[in-house]
Formats: sequence, C-alpha cells, structure tokens
Amino acid sequence: MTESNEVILSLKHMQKSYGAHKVLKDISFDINKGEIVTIIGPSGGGKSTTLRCINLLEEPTDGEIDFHGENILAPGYNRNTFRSKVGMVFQQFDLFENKNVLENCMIGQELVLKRSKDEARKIAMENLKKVGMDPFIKAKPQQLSGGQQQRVAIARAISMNPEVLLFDEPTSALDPEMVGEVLDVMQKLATTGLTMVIVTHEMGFAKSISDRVLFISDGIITEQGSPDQIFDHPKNEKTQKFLSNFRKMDF
Amino acid sequence: MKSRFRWIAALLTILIGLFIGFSFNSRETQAAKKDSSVLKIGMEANYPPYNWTQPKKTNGAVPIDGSNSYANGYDVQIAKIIGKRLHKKVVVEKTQWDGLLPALTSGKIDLIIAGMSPTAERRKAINFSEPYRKSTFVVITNKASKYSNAKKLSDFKGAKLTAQQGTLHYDLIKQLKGAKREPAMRDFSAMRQSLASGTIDGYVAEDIEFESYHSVNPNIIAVNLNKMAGFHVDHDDSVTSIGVKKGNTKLLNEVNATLRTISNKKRDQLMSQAVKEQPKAGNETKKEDWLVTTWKQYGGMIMSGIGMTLLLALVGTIVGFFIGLLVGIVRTIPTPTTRGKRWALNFVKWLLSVYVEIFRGTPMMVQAAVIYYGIAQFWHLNLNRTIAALIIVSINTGAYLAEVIRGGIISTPEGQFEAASALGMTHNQRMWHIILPQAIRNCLPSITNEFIVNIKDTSVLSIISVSELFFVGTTIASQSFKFFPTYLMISAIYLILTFTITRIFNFIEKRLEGKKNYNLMANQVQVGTPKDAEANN
Ligand SMILES: Nc1ncnc2c1ncn2[C@@H]1O[C@H](COP(=O)(O)OP(=O)(O)OP(=O)(O)O)[C@@H](O)[C@H]1O
Ligand SMILES: [Mg+2]
Repeated sequence: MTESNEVILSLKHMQKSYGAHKVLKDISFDINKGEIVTIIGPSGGGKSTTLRCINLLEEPTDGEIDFHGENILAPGYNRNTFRSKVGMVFQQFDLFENKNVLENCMIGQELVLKRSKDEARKIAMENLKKVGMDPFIKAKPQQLSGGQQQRVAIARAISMNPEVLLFDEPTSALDPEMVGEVLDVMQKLATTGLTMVIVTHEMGFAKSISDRVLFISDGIITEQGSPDQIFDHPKNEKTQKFLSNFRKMDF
Repeated sequence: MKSRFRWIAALLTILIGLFIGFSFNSRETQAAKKDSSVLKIGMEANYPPYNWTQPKKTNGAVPIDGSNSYANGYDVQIAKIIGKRLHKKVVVEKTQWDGLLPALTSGKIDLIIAGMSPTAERRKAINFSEPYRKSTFVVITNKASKYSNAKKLSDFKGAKLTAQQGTLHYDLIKQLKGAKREPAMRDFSAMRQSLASGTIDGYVAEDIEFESYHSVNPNIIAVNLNKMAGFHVDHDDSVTSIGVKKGNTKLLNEVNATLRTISNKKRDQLMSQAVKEQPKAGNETKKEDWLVTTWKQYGGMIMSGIGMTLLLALVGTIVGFFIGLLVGIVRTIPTPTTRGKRWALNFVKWLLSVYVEIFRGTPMMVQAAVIYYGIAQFWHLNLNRTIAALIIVSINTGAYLAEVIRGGIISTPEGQFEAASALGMTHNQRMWHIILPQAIRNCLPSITNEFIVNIKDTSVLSIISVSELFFVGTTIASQSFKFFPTYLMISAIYLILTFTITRIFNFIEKRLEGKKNYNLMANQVQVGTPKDAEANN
C-alpha cells in the first residue's frame, strides 16, 4: 500500500500505571505516513490503553510521544490541535446523542477547525456518502443500528481530515451481521492512503488490511512484523498460543 | 468559541438584567417610602371591626399596597384623620400580626394602627401614642352554655377557653382560676368557628368583638370580666394605641395631637359605624350559591392571587435554573493543574456547597422572614415584598436545581466527553455543545417537578404578606367565616394549576425526545435506499 518512510507518530518507551498497577511497561513503535498498523493481543494486555495514550485520553506516566518529531507531552504543547489531527473511533461509537447524523459530522469541523457551516456541511456530506449514511443525515443516533452508528462515527472522524485515525475494536460491540458493513468501510478507507492504527479481534480482517501487525500482551510489544510473519510464522510463544485460539477460523 | 461566548453573554445579560431590575425596583420602593406624601399604615386588615380587607373602595376604604383590595375599619378611619392632618395619603400595608413590629422597626411602615395594646414588652421595641380606644374584656360564649351566667372569676372552672395568639387576652385566661387554657388561635374567625363547633366553651376578647359577632350570631353572649372581683389589667393592656418607631418623636407628637382632637363621642360613633360596615358572614339572606357569591365578592382577589403564585413559581424556577446551572457547572469543573487556580476553585466550590446546604437545609418560610426583615433592618435596603419573594424563591430553587444539574452532568456517559475530546474540543466547547444539552434534557423532569413544588410552596411566603393564592385564601376564609369551603376551593385551584402545568411540561418533554423511529421517507436529501448505499460499499 501507499506506505512511505515519513514517520508521523513515534512512541518512545511509553509507560502507563494506574496507581501501583503498571499497565503499559515499555511501548515503543513508529507509525509511518500511509501505514495501516493493527494491534492484536489478549484481553487486558494494554491495547486500548496504548491507543488512549496516543490521543491523550489517558496521560502516559513515562516516556515520550513524538508527533512530527515534537514531544506532545511537553508542557505548553497545544493538545487540542494535536487531537484534531488524530481521529478516534470508539468501540461504543459514542455519537453525540443530542445531535443528528449531519451535525455529528459538522460540529468538530466548525468548533475546532473553524470551518464555515457550508464548508463543514459539504465535507460532512461527502464523507457520509463514502460510508453510505447520507440518507440518514437527519436521524438521531438512537434511531440507528449499531453498524450504522459506527459508520457515522467513522465519517465524523474523517471529516476532520486527520493525519492518523485510531480504531479501538470498532466492531466488537456489533451484532455479527453488522460487522461486515463497518469492515467494508474501513477497507475502502485504507485504499485512500489514510494512516490507520486498528485494535481488533477480527484476525482475518487484520491479516488482509495491515502493513504491519503489533502483538501486545502484558503491557509490552511481544512481537511485530508483516501480517505474514505474525499470522503464518509467529516466533513468540505467547503469539502462537493466542493465535491458536483463532486457528479454527479462516484468516 | 464564538457560540460559547454567545452563550455566556446571553447568561450574563440575563443575570445583569435581573440584578438591575431588582436594584432599580428596590430604589423605586425606597423612593416611594421616602415619598413624603404617603403615610404607610401597618395592620392585619383582618381584624374586624378594627380593620379588614374588602374588594371595593366603598365606605371610605383606603387602598392596600401591592394588591387590588382595600382596607377599612375603625383603625382605617383613625388613620385617615391622622393622614388628613399631616396632609398625607394613607396607604395600608397589609401585614401579619407577628410581622407588624419588625415592619415598623425596619421602616417598612410609618405607623402601626392595628388594635394593638401598648404592653411593656412591646414598649421595649417601639413607642406608643396615647390610647385611641379603651376596651372592656369579656368572655364570649354561647347563650346555652353553663358559663354564660358566670358571676365571679372562679365560675369558669373547667371551661375550655382560648384567645388570640400573642395577645394579652390569652394571658388573661390565667386569672380565671380553674379554666382550661386551650392552645391560642390565629384570629377571631378561627375562634368563632371553634365556639360554633363546640371545641371550646368560649374565648376571651374585647366587647367590640362581641358586638361584631353578635350582629351575625345572636346566640352568643358576653360575660364582662372587668367588673369581676380580683380581675386586674394594666392600664396599658386595656387600651389600644398607635405604634411609632422609636426616635420618631415628631411623628409621635403629631399623632398624639391629632388623637386629642377626636372626642370620645366621635370615637364611639366611628366604632359602631365600623361594626355596621364590617364584612358580614353567616347571614346569607338569599340562598344564593356560595361559590357564585364568593366569586362575585372575591373573584378579582383570587385571580390576582393565582397570577402572583404563577409569577413567583415561574420566575423562581427560571432564575433558579440559571443559578443552578451556574453552580452545577462550577462544581463540575475538573481540577486545574496550577496550585493557585486549584486553591481558588476549591474555595469557590466550598462557598457554593455552603450556599446549597444552607438553602436546602432551612425552611423557605424562615429564609423569607430572615431575608425580608433582616435586609431592611441591617442594610436599610427596603425591598418591595414581591421582589423579595421572587429573590427568595429563585435562590431557594437554585440550591435545589444546582444538585439536580450537577447530577445530570455527572450521569452523562463518559463516552460523550471522550468523543468530544478526541475531536480536539476545549473543556468549554465540550460542556456547552455536548454535555449540558444532554444533561439539561435529562434533568427536565426534575425541573418540571421543581416548578410544581414551587407553585405549592410559595404559599409559605404569606409570612411576608405576599398576596399569593394561599394568602388570598386565608383572607377570604377569615372574612367569610367559611373555612372548609374556602380552603377546599383554594386546593381545587392549586390542583388545577399543578395538573395543567404537569400536562404542558410532559408534552414539551415528549416533543424534545423526538420519535423513536427514523422515517427515511421524510428526509429531503434522500439518495437511494440504505440497502443501495450498503451495496455500494
Ligand atoms: N482506568 C483504569 N484504572 C485502572 N486500571 C485500568 C484502567 N483502565 C484499564 N485498566 C487496566 O489496564 C489493563 C489494560 O487494559 P486495556 O483496556 O488497555 O486492555 P485491552 O488490551 O484493550 O483489553 P481488551 O481486549 O479486553 O479491550 C487491564 O488490566 C485493565 O484492568
Ligand atoms: Mg480494549
């Protein structure tokens, strides 16, 4: 895919503790422009925490996160501008309940990027069309199915024209028949050259979409490599054991 | 950013507007008080024949401040003579008995002319004029009662007697050895009612009350106490005088000079005229429907009572909502990182929680009395009583709604906040655009509830004599001597008000909630069916 060598985000020895509980012990990796990185691993391993630290929903307790070479954890760094460039799609969609589909996709553009209403609407409509939700622009979130909500959430995120888009298990809260529609949208996004970091339990999808796969367990990156290396020739024992649970399924 | 400022600006405008409104009004009333052409007389306007309330300006009645009603009676006629001599227009400040002294000392009224005796206790707080009426004390009882021909004080042994709360009459019962002193009552109407229903054997009052009551109920008799051996009343206690604020010697002298010009004959004449003109009750000549007659007589008063109650409840709830919103927001601001800011925020939060605790932890009735009389006494700021009532209901409601709104903010799902953060919104943007709209909508049932509670609870403001519905009801009941039907009618009105308002708010809530299902066909910008769209992926 359209991968380059330009590093957008660089995590250096990032750590995170909740009190005495050290959740992330030492996380270091780079994200290149246009790269699709998937993160897999056992439950409680620290995948979500890693993503949440990247866009500062959680404050890392140690280490460094560089965005275009600048440490975002430094005091005085403009965090809100940074966040507007790093989109996030949540497991529970988290659409704004008080706004309809179109407004959900416009509000960030207007408030944060200071786009005009017309421009924001135009961009929102384009992206809603991309995810197939343009017939529902007036609907409120609670009137939509989970799959539809998640597609709107993706449209909301890409309407901000982010440099990186983070997904935290975007299909885990969905009924099985709705998983496909969301994965299709993500697949389509991947071809546009957008940089994506995806935490997922959909192994087949991870294998087909990724440029690189990270295996995180117990707060460290146990193994990383190309989809072939990780899925077909895992070296680490933990990775092998984890993947053997998915053997029966085809990926 | 822009719309955040718009919000704050709107809020500030409202608050400043209210503040200016209040201070302007209070200045206005202060001006009115200083207005040398008006003589403000404090009385219950509920103590016939001395003073009473009537809906029309007949028989030389004078207007009651802040209402559409008029006061008349012996006291009013005396007041008019004084007013004439001072070249001032007489206005009556209808005030509850217990509120008369504080009203005078805080400068809300110029004189108390309310059938009040100059007791030693009262002389400590205010000055009194020379008497304008001497009274004879009697026990009023039924003709059929065995106490009706008592000859000496001890003949009342075993009698259940009462008198008006806070008056000398009640203490006099102690001199009737062996009589059972029942709990004191609020006013004569209550005592008449009790005597008629047999819960008491009689009550101690003045001859004048006997004259009044006898004119409507010939079955009663007065037993004169003054002539009985061993009965003793201080001179001060057997007369009624006019109360003047201490230090106001000039006014006191003028009042005394005026009283000296009124002969005993003139006084008796004024009194019997008052007894004749006082509101009659219990003698319906025509068997006209009670509701119809009451409505004819008091309809205007009832309507303005309803208006006042709704005004208090509505303004109180709206202003209280904004106070609650402000407090709720401040109390949920996340802890800042710098120490100075953190300290300042904690201090403000502490102040706000003190405010919430105090106003939720004390009865609104007490708050009303403290604020209304306290402000006047200590800061010499004379608030119009309607304005005072509005302020009290507002800050009281604010304290309740602050907690409700804080709860609404806290219970908004964390994901809403995180999703807004992930888009790069600032704390204020997240609050105003995402969290508060949801929190407020979730609080709407509680806000409606608070409004309903306010409609009912503003009745306690009768303590500062705001003429809302309950106060009007009390006046009608004690003048018509129809307690049960009057209060039944008042409760029916309350019920209609709360019922209607509940329906209206339920309707609004439903509309805000929107439909459960989304109707694709209703959408203007429809591009293919959702199936097509999905197939396109
Ligand atoms: N707010 C918190 N306070 C304390 N501990 C937490 C908190 N959030 C997460 N943890 C702990 O951190 C560890 C990692 O959690 P995380 O959610 O990152 O795991 P995960 O890899 O995303 O798992 P899953 O696949 O189940 O989503 C877990 O042990 C979890 O209990
Ligand atoms: Mg997780």
